[in-house]
Amino acid sequence: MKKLIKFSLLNLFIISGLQAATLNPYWHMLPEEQGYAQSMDKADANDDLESIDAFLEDYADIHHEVLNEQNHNSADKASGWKMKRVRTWLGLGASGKIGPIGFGGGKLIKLDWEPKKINKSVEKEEEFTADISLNQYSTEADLKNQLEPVIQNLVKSKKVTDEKELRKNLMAKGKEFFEMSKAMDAADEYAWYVKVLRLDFGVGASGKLQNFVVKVGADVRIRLEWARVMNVNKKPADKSDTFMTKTARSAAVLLKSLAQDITAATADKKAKNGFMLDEIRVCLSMSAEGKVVVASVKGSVGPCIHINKKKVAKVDKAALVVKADDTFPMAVDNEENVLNYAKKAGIAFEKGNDGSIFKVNRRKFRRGIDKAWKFGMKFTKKVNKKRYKRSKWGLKKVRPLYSISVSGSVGPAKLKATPDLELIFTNYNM
Amino acid sequence: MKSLKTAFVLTSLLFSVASTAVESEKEVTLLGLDANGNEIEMPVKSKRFKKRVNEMIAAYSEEVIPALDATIKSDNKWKLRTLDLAFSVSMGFDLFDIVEASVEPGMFLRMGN
Repeated sequence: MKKLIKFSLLNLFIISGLQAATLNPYWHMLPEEQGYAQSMDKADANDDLESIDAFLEDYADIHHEVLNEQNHNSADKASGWKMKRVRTWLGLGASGKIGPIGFGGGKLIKLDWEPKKINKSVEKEEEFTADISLNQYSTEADLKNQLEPVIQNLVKSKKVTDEKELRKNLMAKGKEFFEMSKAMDAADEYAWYVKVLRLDFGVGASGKLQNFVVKVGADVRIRLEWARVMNVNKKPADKSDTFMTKTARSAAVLLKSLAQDITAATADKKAKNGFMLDEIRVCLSMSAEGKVVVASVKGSVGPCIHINKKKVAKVDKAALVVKADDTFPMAVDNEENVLNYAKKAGIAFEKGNDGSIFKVNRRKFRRGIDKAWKFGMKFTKKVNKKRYKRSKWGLKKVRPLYSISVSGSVGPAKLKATPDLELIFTNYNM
Repeated sequence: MKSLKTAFVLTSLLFSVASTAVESEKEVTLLGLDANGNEIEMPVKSKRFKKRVNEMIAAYSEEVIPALDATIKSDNKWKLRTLDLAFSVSMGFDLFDIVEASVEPGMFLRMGN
């Protein structure tokens, strides 16, 4: 009898799980995933979001209700504190199920909720401030001057016990970052440009650098950041040796490709549902030969570039044309299904011990960006309905995350994936 | 075997009747990874999800912030202006001893003064 009750309850649990919102495979299945038919990318595939409509509406309803209730909270008014931003996020399971997730696992989409009446300066506030801040005027000496106090603080606080190892690793990573930063203005002629180069990593007690995963109670996080500043009175740093290293040279070539591809893929994209795509984040890595490549590697310590749309830019479409076989390099973990797919599809790659460098087709990547834009825009429509017009809160930013396939295609990031690409849509109606 | 089949049919029927009768009882499926990196799912009623999120936000704004504020105010030279909080929302339930899993959705909150 006890077995019977248990089985009945388990059955109830399984059945109730089947009611969950499931995303259409067209969006999330990448070509290298097992059992996937390549025809999914074709125009006849079902690309609606009807299967998750009800869930998204319910999810948006819940948050509007909860946030509006907080506005009436008397304790907030008495202390003068107000909620200025709430970020929630969703995850995507391997089978396409969508739901709220915790701090572990890759995110599918980040949603930034803000009160509709807010001081504009809040928008510019960052979640974390950088420990090392560089800009186009910075020199290597500036970098070293900022790294030293960080090392001293970590040793003094006893969070790191091996100072020698910490200094060696931090200086090497800093130098690599500085070399990459030299190339950040290499693609300034396009409608999209690199605004920020950012590297977050954790530091272990032994002084080793590790991938930083945001979680509650995480101990040491270091941020290196290069960001453009406007200062007409300042003399630019000496750039005579800018492209002397392989790192800077390869970074310049890669950035040019990415800025060109993003400009081409978004040239005809207009604002929709009040939202406009104005920032794209791509993560980078270093190959064994010291070349800068796009990263699709779990647990790597690599920076991400924030590519922003220029407010005013003339797009010369003729200058954006690429050959059918033009590629950019991407580092990917050595997973059997990926390697097998690449061999089958004739995608060139160099196999290494820790990962392989694939040649990603740029024309297909442009189509991937287009698909990612469509997915993001459909999402903005579903979670920002007109019926929330009277709500005191609204969605300010919608940030879907994606995985880039070695084929160039792009799909929403799953729970077990490390997202390689983030599109940031901003609501300019609030 | 026969009794298992009966149980399956009965619970399926019960579930479909219940879901039809209580239309407002929508569900949110919480997703997560277990200690071995395997995906886990946990359906929660929308009402419960909303209640727990509400309780967590209220707890921070009504208890944590006034306490922090009072501590910082003792030093007149500085004022606490912005506070970023990251927390996970425990749904606090299990299905007897059959399904042992925990999924706690996360959230970031920025408070300003």
